[in-house]
Amino acid sequence: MTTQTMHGTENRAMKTPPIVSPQEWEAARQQLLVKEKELTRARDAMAAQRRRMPWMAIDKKYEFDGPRGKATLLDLFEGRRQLIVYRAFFEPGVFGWPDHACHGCSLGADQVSHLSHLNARDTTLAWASRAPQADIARLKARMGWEMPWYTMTDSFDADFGVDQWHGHNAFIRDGDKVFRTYFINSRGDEAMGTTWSYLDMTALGRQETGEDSPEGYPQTPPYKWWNWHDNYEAETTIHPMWLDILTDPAGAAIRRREADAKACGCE
Amino acid sequence: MSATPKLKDWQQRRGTIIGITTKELGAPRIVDRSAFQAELDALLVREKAHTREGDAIAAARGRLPMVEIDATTILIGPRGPVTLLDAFEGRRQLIAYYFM
Repeated sequence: MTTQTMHGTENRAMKTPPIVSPQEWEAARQQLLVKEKELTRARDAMAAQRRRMPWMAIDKKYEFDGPRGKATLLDLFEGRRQLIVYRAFFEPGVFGWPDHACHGCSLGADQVSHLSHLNARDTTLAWASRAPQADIARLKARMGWEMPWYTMTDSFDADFGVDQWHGHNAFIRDGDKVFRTYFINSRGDEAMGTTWSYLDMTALGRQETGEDSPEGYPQTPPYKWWNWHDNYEAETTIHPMWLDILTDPAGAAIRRREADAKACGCE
Repeated sequence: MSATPKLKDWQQRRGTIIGITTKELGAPRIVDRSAFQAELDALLVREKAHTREGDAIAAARGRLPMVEIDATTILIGPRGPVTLLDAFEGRRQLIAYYFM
């Protein structure tokens, strides 16, 4: 008989891999790294295909309740170009109500990254549930969640494939016209939460050079637009040294070494 | 000295995209619900294959050999020096990220 303990060391039934030398381990890692890189590139290629999806026209007027009252689907964009709406299960009849949202959605809420980076790419994340705003406000405060979270009041969930199960819908707007551009649900939701996972499901992608996007799509070099989450608003005050490092990291490193050498007289 | 031109300059530099119209994006195909769903279903085959490939790679990671390292390596934590073993906090596994 074997004892199944999560933290114990006496798990005799578990057949662990061999212990090898650092050289052998590195060789095995390098071999697997080939597969890892293939997967990363396959993910990039898949995101490129998502960006070539047609856009679905939305004619219906949807209405949500938000922290400041009624809101349309257009309002959920908060003025930005793109919107991702995650449907979370928090309402009467769902396990945990009214103290908690469903376990899976709550785990997902815990892995939502700092939204300033997504917002800096002109994209808004919003959550939507059937629960009234008062319950959503209480839940957010209790769990320390800060994303915008709306109450659905109509057929939005049924119309966008999230009436029975959770899911992420991506939208883009052209002026006041809103289009649906992608949908991720089921196990696809597991991977959501990072800035990159959100951008990779949008019509415009990461908006970085080197990305395989249709012609004319906005692109700027990676690194350059990245900023500290408390500094996006204060860009005018960015120190020339950081701008130098951001725009020319290799050159900046050489210049710093030269300056250091000069300062200590070690030339 | 006005701050506005500098902000605008920096926004341009990092490519803030406010104001780009659909036309500028090469006019993506606009379709109805059923045509959209058909394209979504087609791409879902690739999405699922990708998820499974990710699972397969994770399984291969679990089968990598192990290399023994010095568990007494010292790290400085909020409460002073600790060993690498201490960094496990009593759990079975540890992930360490080198943050620059």
